[in-house]
Amino acid sequence: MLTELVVEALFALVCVQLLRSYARRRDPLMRDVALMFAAVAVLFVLTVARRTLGEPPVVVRLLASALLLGQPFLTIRLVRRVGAMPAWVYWSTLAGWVVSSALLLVGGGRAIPATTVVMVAVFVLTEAVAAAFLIRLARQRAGAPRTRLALAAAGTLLFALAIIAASAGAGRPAQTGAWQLGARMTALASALAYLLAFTPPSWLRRAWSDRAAATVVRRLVQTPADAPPEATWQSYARSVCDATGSTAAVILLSADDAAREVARVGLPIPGGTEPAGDHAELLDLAATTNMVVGEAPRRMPAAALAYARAAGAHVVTAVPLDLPTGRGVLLLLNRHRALFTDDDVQMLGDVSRQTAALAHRAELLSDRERLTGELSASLAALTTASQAKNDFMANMSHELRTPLNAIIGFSDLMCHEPLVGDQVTVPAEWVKHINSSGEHLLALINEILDLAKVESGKIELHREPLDLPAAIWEVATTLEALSQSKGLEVTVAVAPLRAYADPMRFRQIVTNLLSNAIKFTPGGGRIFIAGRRVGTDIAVSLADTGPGIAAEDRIRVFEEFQQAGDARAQSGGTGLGLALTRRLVEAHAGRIELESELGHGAKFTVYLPAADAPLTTSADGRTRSPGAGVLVIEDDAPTAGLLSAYLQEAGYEVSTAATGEQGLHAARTRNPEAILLDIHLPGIDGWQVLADLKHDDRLRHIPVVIISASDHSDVGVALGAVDYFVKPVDRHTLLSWLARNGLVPTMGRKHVTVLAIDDDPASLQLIDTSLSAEGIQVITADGGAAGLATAHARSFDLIICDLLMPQVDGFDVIAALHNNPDTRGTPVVVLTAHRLTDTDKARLSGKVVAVSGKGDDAGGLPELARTIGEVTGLTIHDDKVVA
Amino acid sequence: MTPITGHRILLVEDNDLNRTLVRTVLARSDHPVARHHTIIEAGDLAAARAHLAAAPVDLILLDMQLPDGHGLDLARELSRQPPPARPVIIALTASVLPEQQNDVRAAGCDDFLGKPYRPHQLIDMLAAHLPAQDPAATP
Repeated sequence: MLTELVVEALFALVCVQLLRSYARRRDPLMRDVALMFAAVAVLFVLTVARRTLGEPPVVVRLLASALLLGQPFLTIRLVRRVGAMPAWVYWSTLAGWVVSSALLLVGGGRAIPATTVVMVAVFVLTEAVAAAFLIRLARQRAGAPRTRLALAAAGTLLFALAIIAASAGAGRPAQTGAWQLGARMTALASALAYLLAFTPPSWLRRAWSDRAAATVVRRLVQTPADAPPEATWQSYARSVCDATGSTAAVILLSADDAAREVARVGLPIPGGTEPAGDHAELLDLAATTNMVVGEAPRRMPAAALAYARAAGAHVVTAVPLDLPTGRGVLLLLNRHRALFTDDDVQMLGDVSRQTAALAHRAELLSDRERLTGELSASLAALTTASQAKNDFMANMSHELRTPLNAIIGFSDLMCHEPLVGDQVTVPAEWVKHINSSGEHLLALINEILDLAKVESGKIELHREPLDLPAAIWEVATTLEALSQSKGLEVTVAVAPLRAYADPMRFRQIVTNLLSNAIKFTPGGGRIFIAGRRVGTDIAVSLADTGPGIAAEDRIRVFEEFQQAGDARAQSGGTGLGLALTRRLVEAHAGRIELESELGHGAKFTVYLPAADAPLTTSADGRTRSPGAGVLVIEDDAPTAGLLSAYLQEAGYEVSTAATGEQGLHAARTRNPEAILLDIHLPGIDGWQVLADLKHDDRLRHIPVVIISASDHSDVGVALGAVDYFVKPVDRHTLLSWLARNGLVPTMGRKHVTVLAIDDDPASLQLIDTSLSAEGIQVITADGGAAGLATAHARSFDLIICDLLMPQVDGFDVIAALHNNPDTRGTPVVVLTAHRLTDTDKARLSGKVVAVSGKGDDAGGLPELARTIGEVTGLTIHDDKVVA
Repeated sequence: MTPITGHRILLVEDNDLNRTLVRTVLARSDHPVARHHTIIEAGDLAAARAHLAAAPVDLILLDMQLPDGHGLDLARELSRQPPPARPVIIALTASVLPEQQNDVRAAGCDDFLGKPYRPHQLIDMLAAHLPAQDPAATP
């Protein structure tokens, strides 16, 4: 009897404990748990009452028994709250309870064996189902909750066993004592298991929590020290998820009065589904709060609701984090309420402080790394700057000492000449040497000072609208003596434009460029100064027929103390002129460009802002590109075509006009760099065109070359043409004239692509090797059919074709190329080992430009190379081709 | 009377005025070392190499920044030759910073005279490196 009392007292104790918890937190989960133990607790009260007050009324006993029969269902009800369970299980166990209770009430408390069997069976079966669900839940969890869920399952099973034992004892009066004892002992074990599961003593809770905390901390510490703070928080969030078996977890930290998400686990990566709402509201929670979607009494903050929706969760547990770095909140998202998480949640809240410390350390480390990086970068920049400064000082020292050497040397010699009275007689040239060296030194010092001024931004520009032709003429006149002494011809062709520039600095820029050109151009050469409008800028270009500047020197010449090639030997310049010019131009928000080809002179173009709005008188209103190219005014189509071909192959942009009127229109709209003009034109003749051009302020500066069948060069030059060629004009004369006048092709050398059709791989290889060495791109086609396909797929400058090929032979290929309008214009060269018969020649006549023989000695290749050279405008060196 | 050619000095210098200065200083000096000499002038390294290939010299006055290369290139080439055949090399340059002087020594130059120099410094330098002329040869 005592055992029974103890068991019932224990259950009552659990019940009271749980009711107290419920009273504190008002958590529906706690209420359900308390209810589960209520049946046994009522039995305890009844037993006590029976001992002290006597037998209670039958109705009370029946109701208490019915309540006891409901204990398994109440367990099921609890399990359903914390995990997934099919509805039919719930409803069938409820039905089982109702049936059992009905049978009990109908029987009026008498033990009818059949109904007892049914009641016990329903009771045990329901308990078994509940235990199975509890075990399944336990397996999904870790740490203390797992142990506690397993204990609860054990308690449930033991309780069922106790009921079986009690009923068995009741059915066998002979053995009642033994069965009753067994039943009581089992019930006692059950009660203990329940007690440990639902109200564990505090020392046990602490032990479990400490173990779980150790696991979380160990994982946190394993996060790499140099990982960003977010990685530490992420690791923490993952541990939290694992420890609590949550679907998802989010960590928000306060940052400038707002909440910043630092980690999320089990939620989609932020993007379109970014939870909306005021996160900061979540930071204001004072204690751990459970919130259920769509459930009173607590309204769920919008942000929490959004997270719950994103995770597909119904329950949000918000754990406030009190961190050394500020407030934060941990959100645990679950589909169901969780049993036994209170301790873990408490523990995790504590661990968050350590996480914050680790994250802070990571932040400090990454800050240190970033600062170290910045420091070493600025150190490197300083080193470079210091090196540049040292180089500049070394160069300056060298440049200043060079003229001083002559000054000191010759003056020292003077001092040692014998005195006659108080006078010495010295050679006049010594004085000249000292003087010129002094002048050089002065120029150097002035340029260094100017450069320093521009460099430090202290240069003062007095910008004003500046008459371009007047300013350029002024410089050209000043330097006339110098250019004439070298026999140089300086042509100035500047459109009437106004630049927005500082007059003194503009003069300095042009003087530097012109004196450079004079210095570097060999005697008898030409210098061409042009000024025109390019969009909102004016472009002043100075072209010379000097030695040109190699590609590798084209940037270097603008640097301090640098001169290209062997310039120093001839020029005696300071090496600062172009550096200063570039900086002066840049100070005007302009830019300077250099085009040059070794042996073909150099052309410097300075772009400065124009003082006036762009001219809008051009017919189509288009702004013109800087390399507006060459305009050919010629009515004879073959001549115009030939001139265009020459120019295009060399890389010039070309436009043509067949009449004088069209030519004038084209000149006005396209603003060409030069005009090639025929005299005999339909309508107004070339003389009239020339006169019109020279009377138009906007066209006057364009150099015009007359190309005519009859020689009237004196008239032409008198009317303003810069040169006069008598037809026929060969390619070389034309191109070298353009180069001499500083008209450098805008597109650079044209890229030549050749198609080689042959069935012999060795021949294709030879052609490819030979022509590739000349910078010609070679596409090879193996056989006639492939060749035709390739020829139609894209355009080529030249096609090389073998004659004897299997299937589609060379004759067929050439006929097909000739008959197709797309390929008819492409020159074809026959390269064959085959000796051509008269019939062959007749078949090829008019369809190919040359026939080369291919022998074992590759003797046909030089001839082929010459043909390619003529057709493409490239100079091909025979020796190279053979090699 | 046997013709006396005296010392053969190769002057490698691209600046016309500075070449004139060396010539004038030697012509005006009455120091024994300057009394009989032949100056061979070269404006760049290529000309200097051509002169050296044609006939040996006793001493080279070598500028550093030359149009077709650096004077030290020539010094390094010559320092690989065995000493008796190798002329004395004196760097005559406006590159006078300490590290530049170190480079000059490292490249095998025998001495260094920085620009601007006083005429007597050039004479002293020559006297220090060229053997005294045979007194019998002096008229």
